[in-house]
Amino acid sequence: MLTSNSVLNENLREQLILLPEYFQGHLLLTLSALIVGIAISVPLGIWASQSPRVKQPLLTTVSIIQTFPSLAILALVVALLGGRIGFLPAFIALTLYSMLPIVRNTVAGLESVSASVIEAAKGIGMSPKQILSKIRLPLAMPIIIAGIRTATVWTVGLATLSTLVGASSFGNYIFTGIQTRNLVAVTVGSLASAALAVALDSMIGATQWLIEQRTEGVVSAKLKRTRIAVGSAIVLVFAIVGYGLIPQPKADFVIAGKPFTEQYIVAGLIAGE
Amino acid sequence: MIELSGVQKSYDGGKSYAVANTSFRVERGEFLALIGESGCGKTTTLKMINRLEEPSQGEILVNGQNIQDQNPETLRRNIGYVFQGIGLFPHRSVAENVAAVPQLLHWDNERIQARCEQILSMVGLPLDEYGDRYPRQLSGGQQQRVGVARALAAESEIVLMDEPFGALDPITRVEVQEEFKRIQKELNLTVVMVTHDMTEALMLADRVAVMKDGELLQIGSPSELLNNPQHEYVKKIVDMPKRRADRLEEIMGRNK
Ligand SMILES: Nc1ncnc2c1ncn2[C@@H]1O[C@H](COP(=O)(O)OP(=O)(O)OP(=O)(O)O)[C@@H](O)[C@H]1O
Ligand SMILES: [Mg+2]
Repeated sequence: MLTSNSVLNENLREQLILLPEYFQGHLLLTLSALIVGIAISVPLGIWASQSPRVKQPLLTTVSIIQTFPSLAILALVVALLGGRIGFLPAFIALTLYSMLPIVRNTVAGLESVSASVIEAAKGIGMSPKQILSKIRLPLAMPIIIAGIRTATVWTVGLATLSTLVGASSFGNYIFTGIQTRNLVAVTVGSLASAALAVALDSMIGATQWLIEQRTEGVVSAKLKRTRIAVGSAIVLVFAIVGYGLIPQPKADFVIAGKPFTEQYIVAGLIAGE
Repeated sequence: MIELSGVQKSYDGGKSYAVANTSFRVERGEFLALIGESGCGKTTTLKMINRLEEPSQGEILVNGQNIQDQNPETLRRNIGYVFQGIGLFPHRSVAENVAAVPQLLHWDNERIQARCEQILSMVGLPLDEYGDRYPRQLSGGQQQRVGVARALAAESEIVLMDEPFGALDPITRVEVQEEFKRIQKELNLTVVMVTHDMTEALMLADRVAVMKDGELLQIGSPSELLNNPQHEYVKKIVDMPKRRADRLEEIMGRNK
């Protein structure tokens, strides 16, 4: 009993040593995919909401992307990049995957603004651009943010798969764990991924709450505490990501040397070409 | 000055007309009430004046200039408009709603602030108490008064109002009506007001235009309409306030 416990502890310790690296990889991948996903999807959503000819084809396209199995998307992106592995294919696949909820909610949010409010904006002399930026977007914001939150949770989960194309993430735990029948590694990886999803989701939720509080005009103690908490969380997240962006010598080569299943998959992909 | 000549509006490519062949003229400083039953084309007429709708035929002049030749946004910023559905911006405070047009016109902040204070107190919603509230925190009648304040904020000389006092309780309504009439006279505003309430039309307006099924039946001063109605419908609707007053007197007399 005692020995099995200490073996477990030893195993756990070994896993936890890897946590900073995987955490950083996972966070970097997720956030860059999300940020680029938002930067593409929100303008696309705006465009779609203004042009009926764009709307259906666009929504259909992003839905189709979503219906592809995520693993297949990863493999396809690797293939399209000429077999290139690592961060880039994982990043592209995740960005594509994040688009549906954001595009869809942007369109839905913009369309949810009541016609009488838009008519009033037009009637007092706002230009179409002003109506968009001063009326429609602010009113659609809660719905757009809900879409971003959905995309965040999906992306964090899917980022575990990027291990298969050689990008470092919590997926490394899961896939090594499966390979080596190490349940502790699988558990650590899954819990860490879930915790990150919850944390990012709450961060966005709290930011949104803070923005909405502005419209209530009261500054409570709770508001102050949330402000500090959210502020520090955001700073922390970007510090970690920023640190990850500093090029570290040879970091790229480490990835290719990992003895995981990725090599089989990549080998298969290359062989298949 | 507003002038409509031969204005028609069809929403269905000519099968039916929401407004049929309408011409009238509202002089500077004149108060015109537009009255008629639901769906007769009052809102459509009003919207055409600030180009929220474009006429299918005919011409509209504002201050002597064809509105087709004007930039619609500039035109609208210079015409106050009270919307039938109120249309306050839900994400903006009362003060921000009222400041909307002055901001579009790039007034400086001090002037906007002073104007908000003045105009909100005029509609009985002092800035100190109501300025920071959001539309959802107001009653229907209060929202409607903010709508009126927003329309008047930029000191436009022309004001279009679509049932501006409908949601007010009788006492507040009379107060706001009288206050509005006073300002209208003082500033010599040109007003077109849509209403369902003949009493309101007769009390406030210099002239009343009666519409039915898109047609302008008759336009004239209250006494012209009362003494010389040219249609059965005009007679009926103009007589309404009087009939009600008589009926009321009868009831009061009976209960004495
Ligand atoms: N955007 C539109 N598209 C099609 N038909 C319209 C549109 N707006 C109004 N109509 C039609 O035009 C006619 C006149 O409508 P309008 O809104 O001018 O009536 P109104 O006199 O203001 O009525 P109410 O007193 O009920 O507000 C109605 O038959 C209405 O159904
Ligand atoms: Mg109407």
